[in-house]
Amino acid sequence: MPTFGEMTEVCFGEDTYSVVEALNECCEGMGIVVAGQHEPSFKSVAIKRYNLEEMSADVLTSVQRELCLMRQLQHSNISTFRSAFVIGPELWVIFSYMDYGSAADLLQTYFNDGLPESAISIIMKSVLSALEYLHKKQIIHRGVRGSHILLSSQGKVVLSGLGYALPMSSAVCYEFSPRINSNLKWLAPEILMQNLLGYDERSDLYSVGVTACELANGVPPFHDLPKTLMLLEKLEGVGPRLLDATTLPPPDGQTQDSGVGDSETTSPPNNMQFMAHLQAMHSRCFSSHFHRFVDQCVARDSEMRKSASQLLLHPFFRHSIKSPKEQTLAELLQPALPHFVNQRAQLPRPGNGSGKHTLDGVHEWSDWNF
Amino acid sequence: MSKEKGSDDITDGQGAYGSGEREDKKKGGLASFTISYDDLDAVVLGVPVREEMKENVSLHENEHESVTLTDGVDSEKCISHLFFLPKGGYPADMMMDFATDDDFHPALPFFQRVDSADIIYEQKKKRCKIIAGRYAMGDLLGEGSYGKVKECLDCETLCRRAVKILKKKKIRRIPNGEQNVQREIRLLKRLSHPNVIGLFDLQYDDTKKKTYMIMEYCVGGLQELIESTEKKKLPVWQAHGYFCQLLRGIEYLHGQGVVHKDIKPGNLLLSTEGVLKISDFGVAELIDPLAPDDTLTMSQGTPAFQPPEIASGQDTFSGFKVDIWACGVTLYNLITGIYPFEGDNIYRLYENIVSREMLMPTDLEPSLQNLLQGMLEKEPSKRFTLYQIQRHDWVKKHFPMTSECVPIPAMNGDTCRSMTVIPYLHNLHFGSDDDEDVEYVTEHDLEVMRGRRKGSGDFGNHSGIHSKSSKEKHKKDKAMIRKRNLSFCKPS
Repeated sequence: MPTFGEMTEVCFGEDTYSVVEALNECCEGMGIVVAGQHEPSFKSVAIKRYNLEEMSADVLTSVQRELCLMRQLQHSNISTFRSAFVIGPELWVIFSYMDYGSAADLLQTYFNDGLPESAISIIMKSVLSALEYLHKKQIIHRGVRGSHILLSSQGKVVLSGLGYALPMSSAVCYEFSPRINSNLKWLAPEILMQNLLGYDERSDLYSVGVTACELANGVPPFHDLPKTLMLLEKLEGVGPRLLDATTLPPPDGQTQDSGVGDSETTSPPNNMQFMAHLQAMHSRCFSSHFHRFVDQCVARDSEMRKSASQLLLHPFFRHSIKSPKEQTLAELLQPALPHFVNQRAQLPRPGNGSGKHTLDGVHEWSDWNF
Repeated sequence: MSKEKGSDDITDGQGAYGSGEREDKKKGGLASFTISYDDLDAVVLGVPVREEMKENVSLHENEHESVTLTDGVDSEKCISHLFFLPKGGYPADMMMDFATDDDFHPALPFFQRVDSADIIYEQKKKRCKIIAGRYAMGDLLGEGSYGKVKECLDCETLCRRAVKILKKKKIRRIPNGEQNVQREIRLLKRLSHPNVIGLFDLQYDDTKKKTYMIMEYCVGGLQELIESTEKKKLPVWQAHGYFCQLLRGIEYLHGQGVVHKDIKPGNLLLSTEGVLKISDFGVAELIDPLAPDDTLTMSQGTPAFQPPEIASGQDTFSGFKVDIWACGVTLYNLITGIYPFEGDNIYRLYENIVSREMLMPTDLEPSLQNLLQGMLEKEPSKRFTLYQIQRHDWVKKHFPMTSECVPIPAMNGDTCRSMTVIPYLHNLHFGSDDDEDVEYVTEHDLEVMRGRRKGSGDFGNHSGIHSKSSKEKHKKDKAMIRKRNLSFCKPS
């Protein structure tokens, strides 16, 4: 993994990027995400950094594939990189900075019980348009989940995680590798089955349903289950669902009712936090459109699922447009605050010597046939 | 067909999983007991037979005390053939013979009809076995001389895998057994190519003296595919596709200095995606990187696929050319359904390989004839090199899909080859400890089930599975029940 702070300023052709703060790890610890600034425009950027010398050939090919794929895509709801280059031992990929982070980040820091329904509606609509576009291009995303949905305070919602995407060479796909491991909870049963029936783009819609539940419930469905049990549940058609007053048993009843939810039952009932969580879920009620939307997404049989284009016409989205006050995503997400990139306050500004790297981009580009 | 009779043991070596015909007869598996019906005293004789459908079923008596065939050796596998003898029966000593002797009195059994609804099996519970805390075991995929191959599921990644279970006891009995296993493991560990079977993990169980090789899961092999067809061959376009993949795999292996030495349809498996995987490196050899050339001295491959230089017993031979020859025989076999050289026994076969001219079917297109001629050239130095083959007109030619694809045959009636680990997992997570939920199945039920599966043969149409082939498969299933291990039934 590249170490943060080793390179603080990098010139690539005309563009100078400075590194401001470390944000995250990515690609199962193979890379880091840092926040930075595009010096000429003073715009914040997110930089994914990989150390090419430490990377295994497998990861390298998958990163390469991801970048190639992103290059071919142009859609307002799909995360694409602005620039990519090799500098020293590292590969830098520059993205637009999304100041709210991912939807999963929001759940963790501000919305432990889930996002408000109208916010979910706006987010899922963007995700579905992204999928509609991908599916038209014969690409299965396979990585739709909260942590791959990035949000900005301007109300922009983009789908990332294209490293898992699979261009369909035929009508049916069979590919399943351990690389997809971290997405298992979101994957459709037919992908998990790994049999001769294979799967197709409709499997992404199942993941949309699971993600909708994740955003609404605060935790992904099948959260605490062993993977094998999750597999059984999915194969038996026990789909994920929204947890609210209509789906949960009355609060005075046994909290350990096994019929409830897919995830909550394994937590100890004496856990105060859990009780509060449950209480919050009991006191809310999602619209019937939302419930129906989820049910249609997570149909066990992919033949029964609607396509992304069809789902975009679902009343769940019409409902949100007609909401009394036209609220922006940022308003709906209050009290969450966007994370602005600090103008390099903490970092000692290195002189033009050690920290600054310049390179002749043309030469490096040739190795990476983007 | 003389080929059918003679070549069985020649073409069927110790295959990887998917092929292997089971030869070992377990005497310990025989059991007999008497059951009474209204007017029938019957002796039920159990002969262990591998018949996948009833694999997890053990015999059970109709009403009263249950009699389950347990023999301690391999009870899971033990299902019965039922022979009902007339009332009065045979003298006791004859009965003894019955139970202990494999080939007993040819005149003995007259078969009497029993209603299939009266034969009752107890559904064996699929108790989930997990090895190394990670791999949940599923059904048997195949069996070779080295041990069983079962399906398993990696509980951490939920990837389907195959596990080759090697029993130390069994391996010791095979000439060069331990050495071959060690070599296979060593080789597989260093190989990584889409057309070479992957070894993911190795686990040892010291108390059971077993080695588990966790490998890539394959749905079947080319041998199964050929056998599922009427004429025992594949359409040219399909064979061409597999052959090209085989060449890519061989190119990689030879580039790594590995000579496979046992290339044959039985060792060419297919992944769910239809990618060909070269498997079974039990007799493969790694050429010493410092050696001047690829000269080898030892061969343990399958007779029908051996080149003349080995058939004639030469001391040394070029390793790479051995694989080229075997690829030639494989291609010949995939396209014609027969072997270029045959023989009633291994001596006759070797004689033919060394001296007889190859029978070239005249209906093959000239470029293919030329390719086969070049690959099956008796003189190793004149035989095509891999480079020549890859640039050969027939190989470079594009073959459009002109006929329907021969699909991977169904296993136990399952055309889509679903995960077999699921029932075991179900038992693990939802199963109860008491015997309340024991299920009983009658022979009649099984018959109906088979019929239904047959009926739904074209389920899963997408991969071009036509009901015809599944019907054939079904017929075959039945035939197997009758045929296997019943040496005394053969008209002598």
